[in-house]
Amino acid sequence: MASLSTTASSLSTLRTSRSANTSRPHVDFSSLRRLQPRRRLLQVSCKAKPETIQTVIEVVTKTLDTSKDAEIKGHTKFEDLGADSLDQVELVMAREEEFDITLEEEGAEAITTVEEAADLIEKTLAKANA
Amino acid sequence: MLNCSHFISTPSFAIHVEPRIKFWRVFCHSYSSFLQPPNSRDLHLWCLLSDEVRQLNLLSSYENILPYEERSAMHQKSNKKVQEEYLLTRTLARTLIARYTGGHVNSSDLKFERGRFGKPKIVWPTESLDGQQWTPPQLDFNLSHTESLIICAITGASQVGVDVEMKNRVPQTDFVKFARRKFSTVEAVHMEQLQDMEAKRHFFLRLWNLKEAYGKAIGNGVRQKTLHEAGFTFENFSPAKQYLDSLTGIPFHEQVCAIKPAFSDAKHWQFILFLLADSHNVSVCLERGGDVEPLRLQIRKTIPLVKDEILNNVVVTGLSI
Repeated sequence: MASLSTTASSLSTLRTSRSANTSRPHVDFSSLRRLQPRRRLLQVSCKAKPETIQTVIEVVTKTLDTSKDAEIKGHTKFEDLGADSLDQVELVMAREEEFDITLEEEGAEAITTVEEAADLIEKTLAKANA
Repeated sequence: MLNCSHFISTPSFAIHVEPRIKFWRVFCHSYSSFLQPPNSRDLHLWCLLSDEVRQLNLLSSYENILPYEERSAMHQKSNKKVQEEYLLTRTLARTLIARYTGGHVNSSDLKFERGRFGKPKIVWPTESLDGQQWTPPQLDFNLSHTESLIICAITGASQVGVDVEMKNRVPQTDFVKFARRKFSTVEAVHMEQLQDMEAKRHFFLRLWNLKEAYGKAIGNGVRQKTLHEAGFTFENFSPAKQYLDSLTGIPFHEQVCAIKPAFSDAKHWQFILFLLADSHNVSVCLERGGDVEPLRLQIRKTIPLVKDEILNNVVVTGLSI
């Protein structure tokens, strides 16, 4: 999100012009767009809804029985949870059961974090509901 | 939990409680024993118990074996257990493979590449340590681990896969449903027919064990296709003579079974199931050429840089002929 001070100063430099046929001012937004900072990195991990991420965390905690270990967050990597290959396949199954979907293998293989898992789930749900 | 007392130890020298550097000097030269490379009908299984290594404070010595990139990768892992597994699996593979080269390559200098789905493969140097032209041995290897045990399978056959699971592992999901959805139809049907949950659990883990070993041998890992298409059935086995013609080196469990792989590729692969120290199930999948010679098995326990021991508490529980 662009900072408030940047937005305020950019707004003050925008030119308003009146069109000949309407009484409303037209605001030139092109300069405002240029001032927005790039945040592609954040966009990837924030795509999934917090509720989905939380459900994935619950599924993972229950499946891996990690109550004794460190708390799982959205950015937690599955590899860091010490899951072996049977755990990983069980995790996929558990997510499929929880959300009542079938996860495609190619997509599931690319997943490294909890957030990415939530993201794939939402994509799959959207496709199924389309 | 795998316990050191499960193995009969035949120490060839005592372990002294001395400063680490002196310890290294005392033992590293007597440990420089080279190993005869296995041929295509030899299978060598090496077991490392994480507890033993920790008790002897060897982890920092092992770190010195890893090349710089692997050491950095190891330190980037946030989970200590995962870090230790990374270190021990690579130490085991490097030290063993180097020993099979008879001193031509150092364990730190070995290079590996990964196949499409991540299976590691040795990339041999063109020259040996002394700068001479050298023909490396034909070797394939594969690693597997549980919390307490790491296994490295090494063979002269072109492909091998190994998987180890704790005998008392309880899957966390509904494994009957899992089998229905992911395994072959024949397997799912058989699962339904079994009477009690314990028999179902045992059947599930045995299938998983075999599918995982196969997936790792072909370099696919356990993909949906492998789970569904690489199907197995089991039969009671008699007479014992058939076994003795197929496999030597390890005794058979009284209830050994015949593994019948039921997929198109099956005749190129041989499967073996072991019970280790009554606590771990190990499965191996080995590429089988046209050889009809019996498979020669050798299972040893090792503490890299220290010693090897023969493993006595192992039996074969299943075999495909």
